Amino acid sequence: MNKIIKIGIISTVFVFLAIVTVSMFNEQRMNKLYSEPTQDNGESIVPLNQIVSGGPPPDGIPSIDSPKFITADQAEGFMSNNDLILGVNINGDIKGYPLQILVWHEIVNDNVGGTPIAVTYCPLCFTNQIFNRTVGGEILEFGTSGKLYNSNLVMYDRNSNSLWSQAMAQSIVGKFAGANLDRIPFDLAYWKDWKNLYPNSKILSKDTGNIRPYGADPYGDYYTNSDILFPIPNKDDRLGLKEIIIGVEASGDYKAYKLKDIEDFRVINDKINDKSITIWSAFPFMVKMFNPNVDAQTLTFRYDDEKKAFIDNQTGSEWNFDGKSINGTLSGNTLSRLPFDEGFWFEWVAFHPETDVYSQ
Amino acid sequence: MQGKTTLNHNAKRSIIKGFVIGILTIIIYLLVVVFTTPNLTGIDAINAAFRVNSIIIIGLGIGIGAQMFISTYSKGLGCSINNRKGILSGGTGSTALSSFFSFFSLVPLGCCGSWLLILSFLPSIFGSTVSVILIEYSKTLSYVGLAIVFSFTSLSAYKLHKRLQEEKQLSEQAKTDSQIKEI
Repeated sequence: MNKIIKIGIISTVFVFLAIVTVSMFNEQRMNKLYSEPTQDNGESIVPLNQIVSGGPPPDGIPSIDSPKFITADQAEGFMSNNDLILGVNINGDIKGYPLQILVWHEIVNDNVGGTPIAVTYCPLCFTNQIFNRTVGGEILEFGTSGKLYNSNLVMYDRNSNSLWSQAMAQSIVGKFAGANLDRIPFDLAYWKDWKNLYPNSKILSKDTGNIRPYGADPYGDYYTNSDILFPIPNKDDRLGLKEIIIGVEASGDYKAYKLKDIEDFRVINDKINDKSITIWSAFPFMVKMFNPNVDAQTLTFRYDDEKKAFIDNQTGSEWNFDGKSINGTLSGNTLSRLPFDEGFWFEWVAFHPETDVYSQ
Repeated sequence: MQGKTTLNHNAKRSIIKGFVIGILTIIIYLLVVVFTTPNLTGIDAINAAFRVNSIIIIGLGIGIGAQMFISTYSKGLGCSINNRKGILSGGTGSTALSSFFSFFSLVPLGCCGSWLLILSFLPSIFGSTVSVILIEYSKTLSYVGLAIVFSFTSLSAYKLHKRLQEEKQLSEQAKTDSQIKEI
């Protein structure tokens, strides 16, 4: 038996050494990746050693570049009531992008209402973002770079190969380093709510040019369990790691609002860095943020359950969920929508460790 | 020293071989995890793999190790368990399947990760509908694979046990016969 014990010890040591060797090899490989300028001119605004490879090469996860659309009725064939859809309305052109398709592509290059946009989704951080693809007069086309920054999607533009952080809405490496993308306000909603609100909207078809198992979510129960399997920077216990938050930035100040709070209160009137905002929720997940300034006055709002409308406290005018006054002295006015970030708390605080958290 | 149980050479050899193969199975599994998760350090990737799939990883190590032990032991006895090769290859196939399906749960280790890319190719091989089922039930399928590994192991163990009993009966019979002859 002594021999067996010896063999056991030797095997255990061997396993340990194998693990350490592989780890060191991987570390070296990562360090090499970090230290090599990833783009031609090597300019970057973040430490290169924090941009890591997720495994696949650029475009390994293919973006959708020639999206096809179907009617909401046709989409009923593959959408379930509790499926989430990312929607946008530009100049009355309303389009919806089901997350069950986005999860396999992460980026859709599209044109909506005459505006070239990139619809982006990072499943790991649950960050949805829609950007105007026009930068400095040039229309960019985005693809997945296969890299991550703070566990968040890093895109690249096919025009210059610059890298762009989805969460920062900014180029982080390459010719465009430092350039910002304009965020476009979007809606995230359950299909059952979306199809009732926008029955005539165009829905991204599963005919994407790629064969993918749409309908199966490869991330499984990742969104709902409390576990995170990768190390995260700036861990902050003020909220749960996967608490879904609405993140707002105003002149360098950051504030996070729990989605659940917005859904519970229906309306949050607040100020960030002296900038007034009002955040509304009428349906689960679906949040809209507006600039409450109308005719040189700053309005505050409340939700009227009976009228199912938003009422401003200053004039008593009624407003619909699109921010349009439909009754009262301010009837005909429309509030301007403001963009925000939506995603898991761990991702927001990784990028904005100095953020405030809203509490009533 | 009386009463001390000693293992014969065959048993020792089989235990060592089973142990080494079991450990190797675990090492190979972990190597796959490390190489397919370059965004994590090796230690973080291994930690994550154990957090998600500890039952599968340890189970496969034990299952394959035990199968190798039984196989080597029976071979050392000079007996050939029927379909021994089939049992071994069946076990290995189940191990591969179980490992493969358990790797699906590694997708949340990184956005745009290797396993998301690998899963993307499933519809080209199995078609979209089957792929959706494979992904949705990957966890269950990995446990089914593990159960098959243990089923093969149990079957081999049962056959070995049966064979040993037969041999024991034969030797007892021979002993009785020789005693009768002596009388």
